Amino acid sequence: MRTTKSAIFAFLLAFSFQAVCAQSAMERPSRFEFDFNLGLGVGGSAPVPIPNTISEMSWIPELCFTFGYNERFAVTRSFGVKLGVQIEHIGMDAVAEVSQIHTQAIVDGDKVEGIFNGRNETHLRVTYLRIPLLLSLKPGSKWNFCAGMHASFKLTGTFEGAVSNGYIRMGDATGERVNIDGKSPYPDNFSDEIAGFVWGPEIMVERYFNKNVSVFADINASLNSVLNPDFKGLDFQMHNFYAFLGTSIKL
Amino acid sequence: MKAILKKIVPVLAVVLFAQSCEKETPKNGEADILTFCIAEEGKTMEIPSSTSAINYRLTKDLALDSLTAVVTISENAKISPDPSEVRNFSQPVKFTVTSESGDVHRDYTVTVIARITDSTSDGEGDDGDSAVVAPQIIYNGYFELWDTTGSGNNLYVTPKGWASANSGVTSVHSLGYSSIAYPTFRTTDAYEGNFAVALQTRQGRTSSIGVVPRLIAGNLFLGTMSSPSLQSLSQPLTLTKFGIEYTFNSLPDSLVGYLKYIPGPEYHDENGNIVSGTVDSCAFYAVLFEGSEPLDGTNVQTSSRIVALAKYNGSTPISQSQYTRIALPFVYRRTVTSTANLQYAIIASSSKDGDLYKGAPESILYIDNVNIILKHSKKK
Repeated sequence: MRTTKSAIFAFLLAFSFQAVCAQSAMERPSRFEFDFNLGLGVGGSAPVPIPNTISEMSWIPELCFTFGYNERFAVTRSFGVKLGVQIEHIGMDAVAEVSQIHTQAIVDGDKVEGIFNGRNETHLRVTYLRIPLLLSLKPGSKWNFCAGMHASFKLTGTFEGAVSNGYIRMGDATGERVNIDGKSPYPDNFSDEIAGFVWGPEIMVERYFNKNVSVFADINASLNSVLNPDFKGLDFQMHNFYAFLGTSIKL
Repeated sequence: MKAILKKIVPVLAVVLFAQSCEKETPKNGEADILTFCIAEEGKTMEIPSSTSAINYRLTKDLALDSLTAVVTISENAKISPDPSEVRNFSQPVKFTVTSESGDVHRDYTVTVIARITDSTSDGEGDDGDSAVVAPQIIYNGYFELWDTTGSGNNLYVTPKGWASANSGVTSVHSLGYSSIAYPTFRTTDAYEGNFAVALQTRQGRTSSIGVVPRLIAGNLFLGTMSSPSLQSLSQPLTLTKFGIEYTFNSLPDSLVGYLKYIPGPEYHDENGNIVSGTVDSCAFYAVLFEGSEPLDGTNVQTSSRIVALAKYNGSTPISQSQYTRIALPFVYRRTVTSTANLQYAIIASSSKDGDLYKGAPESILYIDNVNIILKHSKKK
């Protein structure tokens, strides 16, 4: 709930900036550019570095997408500032052999917690409201190189998974060894543990085909974990790395 | 476009795949004794993960003061002292296992139980029946020696040489039912000596779904409790492995024990519904059977391998206030001429139908001075 409020606040902030920009634009139209963009991408959410407790990892990308509205304010002839509002859907599936990871799982309605060895599968889907704030270098009329930060607010998200083909030591490494043969899913509340806010670096390269149409590539990552910092269900942090290719149309 | 791809692809590749290169697997954090064997005896015993008290029964006549242990432990763990050195096992011996990671230590106490034979007496005789002076031939049948397992809320005790379903209750605790007390415990309300064992039926799961049983009866038996898999928690009957080797030359005549029993106030059926008018009763029986494989909860009274059964059927009332001597004759189902290749088990439960999740929570059975009287000692 708090996340949604922050998202709305950020959205309003971005639009008030736009309003100011638009107003200024009427006075000095040459300094402002506005565009709509749409992109498709892939990526993953993973611990960095991948700990040695995870091996034989296979990654199944989910088709991700982003769309939104951006404004560029030219500070000088080449340099500018770019601010946007993007709706971005990210996700991935991963299957890994893990050893000695702390986790929780549900068996017939009951929750077990301990040190797990075996197969772990993860399904992550998150939709963010992403606010990029980038410095922009436009050496000519064809290229635009941008780098900066983004702040992303969770709109919805699911984090599901299961453990199987292994065993759990109840509580800690000296706890009772209990075999987990079939798939035992993560508790339902794992989805509630997706962080409401992530932030991190973003780079973007844009190539203009004509005055109004360009293609772009965008990579953004999160410096904080996609999961809440106090989340005890898994004992590692997962960072977002997602890349998009798309097109934008200048208004 | 090509130029863009040239820039983007390497970055993507680095970000997404550089992480996935091979790394050393983490150092093992487990510090378990997996199997234990006395080399001179030759019989290897699997050690359940929950236990830190190893009670190893000799079936050969061996002197306890110079025996050699053979153990297998968690991968790359270390054990001290070196079990392969000849040592004196006439007192319990402590071994410490340290995990490969170095931060996990487990202490094990190994008790080697000498073979008890017809002529061995390691305790006072049963004097409840003046016609019989039988040696105590059940190891720790008077429940004076106890092992401790676990710590904190997961600490429970077991009479040395006996087994109970308490380890399963540790799993139940891990499933969120941490307030369920262990159903098998020690009491100073003894018939004789310092201690007796008490078994008390516990209310289990109250929700409609889950693997935790609705009713957990206290139990005690000769045999081993195997480690559950989560799925098997809902079929606990297969986890109790009944039976130890029958090392006596004469066949058993009767099972003797001193019992006190207070049934719980409300009898529950298998769905947790209260059945009015039904009073809980306890189970106390011994089974003699052929073969080297143990029996379990599904076949302990029905297996075709059973030679004889001595079972309490309620005909002698058990007092609620003081210990009542119960003597149960072994009823032979067939004739055996030799005691070779036989096993036996003594089994007690605070709710007779606790294995079917029927019984009264709070029913409590006190047991002390359990013994078996052999046929030849009866004749004396």
